[in-house]
Amino acid sequence: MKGIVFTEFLEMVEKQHGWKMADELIVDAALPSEGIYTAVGTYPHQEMVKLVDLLSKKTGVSVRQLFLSYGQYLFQQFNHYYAYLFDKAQNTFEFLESIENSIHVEVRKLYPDAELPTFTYHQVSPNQLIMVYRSERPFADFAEGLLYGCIAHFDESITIEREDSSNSGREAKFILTRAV
Amino acid sequence: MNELEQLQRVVYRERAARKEAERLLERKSLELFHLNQQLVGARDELEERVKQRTVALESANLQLQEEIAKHKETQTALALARDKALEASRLKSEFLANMSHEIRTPLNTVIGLSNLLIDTSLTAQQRDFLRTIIVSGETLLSVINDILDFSRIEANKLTFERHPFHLRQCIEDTLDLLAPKGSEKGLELGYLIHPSVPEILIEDMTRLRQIIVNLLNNGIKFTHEGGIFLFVDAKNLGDGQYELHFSVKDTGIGIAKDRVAKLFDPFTQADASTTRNYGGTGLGLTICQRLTQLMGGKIWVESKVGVGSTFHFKIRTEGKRADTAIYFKQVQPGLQNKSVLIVKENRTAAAILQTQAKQWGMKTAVAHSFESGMKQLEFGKPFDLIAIDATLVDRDPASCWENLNSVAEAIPCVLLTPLTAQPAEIEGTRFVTQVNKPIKPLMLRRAFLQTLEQKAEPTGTKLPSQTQTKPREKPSLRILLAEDNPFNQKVAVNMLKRFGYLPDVVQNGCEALDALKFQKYDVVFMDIQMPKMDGIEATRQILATQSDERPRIIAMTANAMLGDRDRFFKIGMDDYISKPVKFPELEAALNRCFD
Repeated sequence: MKGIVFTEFLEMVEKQHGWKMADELIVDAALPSEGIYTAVGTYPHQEMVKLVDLLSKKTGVSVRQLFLSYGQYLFQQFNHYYAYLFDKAQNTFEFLESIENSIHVEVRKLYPDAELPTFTYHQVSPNQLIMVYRSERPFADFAEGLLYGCIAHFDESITIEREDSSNSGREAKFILTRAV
Repeated sequence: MNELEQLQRVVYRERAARKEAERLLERKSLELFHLNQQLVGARDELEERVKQRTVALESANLQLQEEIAKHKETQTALALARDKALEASRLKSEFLANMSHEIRTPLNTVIGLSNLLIDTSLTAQQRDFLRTIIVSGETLLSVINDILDFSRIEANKLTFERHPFHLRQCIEDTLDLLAPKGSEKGLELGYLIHPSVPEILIEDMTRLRQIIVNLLNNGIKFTHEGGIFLFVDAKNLGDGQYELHFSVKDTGIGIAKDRVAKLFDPFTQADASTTRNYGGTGLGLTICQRLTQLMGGKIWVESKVGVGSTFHFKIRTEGKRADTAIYFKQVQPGLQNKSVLIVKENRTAAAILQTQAKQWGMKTAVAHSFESGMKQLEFGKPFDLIAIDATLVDRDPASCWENLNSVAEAIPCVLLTPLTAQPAEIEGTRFVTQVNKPIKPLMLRRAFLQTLEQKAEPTGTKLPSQTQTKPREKPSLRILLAEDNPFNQKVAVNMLKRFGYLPDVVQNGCEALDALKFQKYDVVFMDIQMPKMDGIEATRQILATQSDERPRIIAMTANAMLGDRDRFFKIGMDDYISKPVKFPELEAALNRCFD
């Protein structure tokens, strides 16, 4: 998993709970990397799972809720860092459909070894898009959080229904419906 | 752990993260550097390759240019060679024309004088030698003509002069020409024209005749027994166009299957021994083939060794029907329902006669031997007429006539006699008419009618043949001969003497003009190539100065090249005979003076 996911996560924890909480989280988790994360590095995704689990225990917020809110947070950060990738899309559906063919292409230029999830799309109607998430890693909740971040970014009124094909969180169907 | 220690831990972690990031970036940098190096190397290699390719291209280009230059050179050389070849071909044609003239002139003398000599008093051996000289001379002449014709055809220089002519007349003349040769060998010659054939053809008669003569000549040459017959039929193609089909059937030695294919190739005969036994250039059939092709047709042969050959040829030509035809095709009032017994050994010839007689409305019966003829006369219905081949009678005339008289005393006979035969010795009081072979329908019809009429009269006496031409009563002609060659002079003067004329002789065109000033002539025989003034110029001047009572001018030349005849007529000459002059041609030319 790319280092930026870790560094941004820790930054969010720092912002919300103070630097001490972040430091304790790292130490308590007893991570192989010792929490020495850099955005340009790559780290095992299990460390992320461990950090979120620990934060849930410390704060009493559910893991799903933590992933959802971190997803929304990270979308804002991405928008901030990579504004040039976001400008082209006019709305949520347009942006989502550009992930596979444009954003992931850009990511691979910088990190040829990046292990990215895949998305398939089906535009049912002008106001409904079905998007299927598939990954080696169980981050469907995280993806869902990113979707909410995206909807918030474009300031649209879109509801998400989710159907999981299994409980592993590695594959999920999101049905996005825009309110008319 | 106090706050300071915790802060130090965080700082340590941050520093470590920074160093890790720097390490990763440096590694990435190095990777990029190496990749860049590879790219530069690849670019350099590509550039080098482009250079190499460019050099290769340039050298290929250079080679190409050299090759183009070479091709151009070759082209120029070829064009030059072609021009040279064309020039050589033209020179060859000219040479042939000159050679033809040079050879024909002395040949003229040889053949002409030999023909005169043969009628003088000679020993049998001398006569035999002389005959050989004449035959050899004529053979040589036909060889030269063949070669000339062939070279003209090969050079595409043959033009066709299409004029209307009567096909039947043309065929009969041709058969007459060959009849002496045929009857010498005891061969039957005959022809049959199918009613579908138009009477008048618009075609080059000389060329058509050439083909027919060639095929008939071949037939005579390779046949030792039986006969040679010409059949003609036609297909009407509409718009006055016809496809004529000629076939010349012989009962000769035949041609082996494997020889047939090569038969029409130039300079080949059926095999080498043919040349030894029968002579000839091997060009005759090639010429025939080219001529038929030029007349829009083809030539082919069917043959069986030991049985005979039939040469077929087809031509496309314009044709017209003419009234004279009725004569040959329709029922004849005087002959209708009369019965005739045809006694003739040769089946084809007998069949031709029978076909002709049937067309006239006659009843016919055929016997192929004298004996079977006698039986039919003895036991069959009485006939009005007997047509019997003289060769059957000549084997034993006395007993034949006795036999005939005993079974059919009163039935008149038409005797079909070969050209060379002496008038038949006929016994008894029977009325007999003779018809010369090759048999012409016109003559046969006349003979039939005459015979039937005479029979009706009680005084049936022998009459001489009605069909033989009597020598013509000739009015006098004043003739001038312009000819530089003393031998040719001698030949021409002697030939004219035979016809009862004594020509004045001059050496060239100038002298001819002088002579004409001095005296009036009816006919001038004009050689073309003469010193001082040639025959062409002399003719021009005669026409220019003596427009009213000018003499008839007959070109007389060995120059047999293409278009000459036309040229002579164009400048105003009246007639043309080619040298060496032959009696029939000279006689015909003289006869035309009275037309």
